[in-house]
Amino acid sequence: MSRLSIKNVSASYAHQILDNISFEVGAGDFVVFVGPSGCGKTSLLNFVAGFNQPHSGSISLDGKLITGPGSDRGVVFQQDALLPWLNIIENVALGLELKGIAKSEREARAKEVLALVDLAGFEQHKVWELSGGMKQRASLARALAADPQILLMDEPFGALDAFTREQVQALILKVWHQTGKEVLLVTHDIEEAVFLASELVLMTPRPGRIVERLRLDFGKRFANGESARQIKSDPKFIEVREYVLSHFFTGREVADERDYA
Amino acid sequence: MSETTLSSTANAVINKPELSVAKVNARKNTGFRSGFFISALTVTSLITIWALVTYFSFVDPLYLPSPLVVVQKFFDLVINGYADATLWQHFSASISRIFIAVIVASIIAIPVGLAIGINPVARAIFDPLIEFYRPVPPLAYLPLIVIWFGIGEFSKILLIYLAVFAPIVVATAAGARHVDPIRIRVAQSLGATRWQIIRHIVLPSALPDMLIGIRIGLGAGWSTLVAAELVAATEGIGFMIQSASQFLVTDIVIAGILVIALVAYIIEIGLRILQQKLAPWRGKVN
Repeated sequence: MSRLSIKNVSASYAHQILDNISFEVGAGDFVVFVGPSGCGKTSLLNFVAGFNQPHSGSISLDGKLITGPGSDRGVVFQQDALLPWLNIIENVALGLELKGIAKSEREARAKEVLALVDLAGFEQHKVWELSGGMKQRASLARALAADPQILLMDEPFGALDAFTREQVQALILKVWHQTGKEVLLVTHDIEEAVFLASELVLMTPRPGRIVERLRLDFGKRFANGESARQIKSDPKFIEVREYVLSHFFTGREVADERDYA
Repeated sequence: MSETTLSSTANAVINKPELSVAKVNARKNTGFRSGFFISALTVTSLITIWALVTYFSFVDPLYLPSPLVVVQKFFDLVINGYADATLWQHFSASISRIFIAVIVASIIAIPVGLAIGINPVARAIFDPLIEFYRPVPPLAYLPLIVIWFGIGEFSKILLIYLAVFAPIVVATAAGARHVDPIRIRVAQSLGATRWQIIRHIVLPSALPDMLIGIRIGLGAGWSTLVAAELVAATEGIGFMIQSASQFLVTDIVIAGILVIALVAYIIEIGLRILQQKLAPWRGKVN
C-alpha cells in the first residue's frame, strides 16, 4: 500500500537537477534519500513539501495531488527554524493555533508531544536558552503536534555535533516507531542513512537519479531494543555501509593524487 | 609528602578554569563600568572646560554664559517662565506635538511599511512618494504647509509627522522584506494562510526594525521641532529658543537646548528598554 507517490518528476534550473524520478512510499516506511550534494535530494523534498513545483511529473499523497505546502506534511528543517518571539510550548502549538484550536486544548496537546521528544519541563523556556539538539527536538515536536500524515526532514542533524546527533537519531527512530508515521529524510551521511532507513534510496548527481533502493531493518532493530553500537558494529551493517559507500567512491580518488611509495 | 604536593597540584589544575571564568566575568563588568565611567568623565570635563572658559572671561557671556547662569536661568524659567509661559508649559506644548506626531506616524507608517515590504504593487506606489520627500529639509516645504493648512496646531504637528513618518516606513519595509524565508516555510508547512503568515511571521520578524524606525523617527521629530514652532507659535521649547535667540538671550537658548537634549536622551533610553522587553531575541538569534 503506497501513500506518497512520486511520478516522473524532473526539474532543471541552470542545469538538470532531477531526471525522471519515480518513487512510492509505503505505509509505515522510513525512507532515506542519500547522495552527494547536487544530487537533487533536497529539491525533491521541497517538491514533496510543496515549497517548489517540479517542472514535470506529479507528486500525490493519499491520491491527492500536491500543489503547495500544507499541514498534511510536517517539515523538520535543518536548523534555526523555531520562532524566537514564542516560547517552546507556543512554538510547538503554532500549527494548532493556526488551525484555530483553543489555547487550553492546543497546550495540552503540545505538552504531550514535548514529553514524547523528552522536552517535558522546557515548555516556558525561550528558544535561545535551548541547545542545538534540544532545538531540533522542539522542531520535531512542532511538526508532530500538527498531526501530519508524513514527516519530511531535510538534513535534520546537519548542524549537530556527533554526540547530539546520535541522541536525536535515536529519538527520531523512537518517534517513528511509536507514531507509525511515514518519514522521508534527506542526508549526505551514509552511516546515518543506513542506520535509520527502512527503505534506503541512493542518488547520484548531474542529473539527480535514483541508482538503487535497499530495504533495511537496522532502524527497526534499534526500535525493538538493540543498542546503536551493537547494530553499527554488526558485520551485516558494516557490509551494507561499505556497499553503499562503494557506489559513491571507487576508493582511488585520493590514491591517484598522492604517492606514498 | 609527595602525596600532598600531588593533590595541591591537582587542586591548582582544577581551580584554573574557575579562575579564568572569574577573570572573564570581572573583565566584562569592568567593561560596562568603565564605559559608564568614561561617558561620565567626558560630560564632566566638557562642563569643566565650559565653566573655566566663562570664569576666566575668554568668551563674552553674550555668546557663552557660564553654566551657573544657565542653571539659574533654568530655575527662573521653571518659576517665572518666558514669553508668558512657564518652562513646563513650553515643554508640554512641544512634547504633546511630538507625541501626537509619533503616535499617528506609527499607526500609519507601520501598515504602509509592511505593505511596501511584502507587496511589489504597494512598493511601486509608495516608494517614489516617500523617497521623493524624505531628503527634502522640513524648512523647505514648511511654507507650502502654511499656505495649504494655515498657521494652526495642525500644520505644526504635520511638519513633525512628516519627519517621523519616513524613517518608520523605511525601517518597517526593510524588516518585512528581509524575513527569513525558512520562517515563512515553517508557517506554510503548518497550513498558514497568507494573512496568518503576515500576522504570525512577518509582523514579529519586523518588530525589532520597527522599533529602530521609531527611535530614529523620534530623533527626526525633535530636530524638526524648532522649524515647526516657527509657525505662529506662542508656546513650545522650539519657539522659546528662537524667540530668545532673536533677543540674544543666550542663556535661555542654551537652557532650551539642554532641556531638549535631556528629554530626548531619556526617551531614547526608555525606548531601548522597551525594545529589550518586546524583542529580547534580538542579537541572541538571527
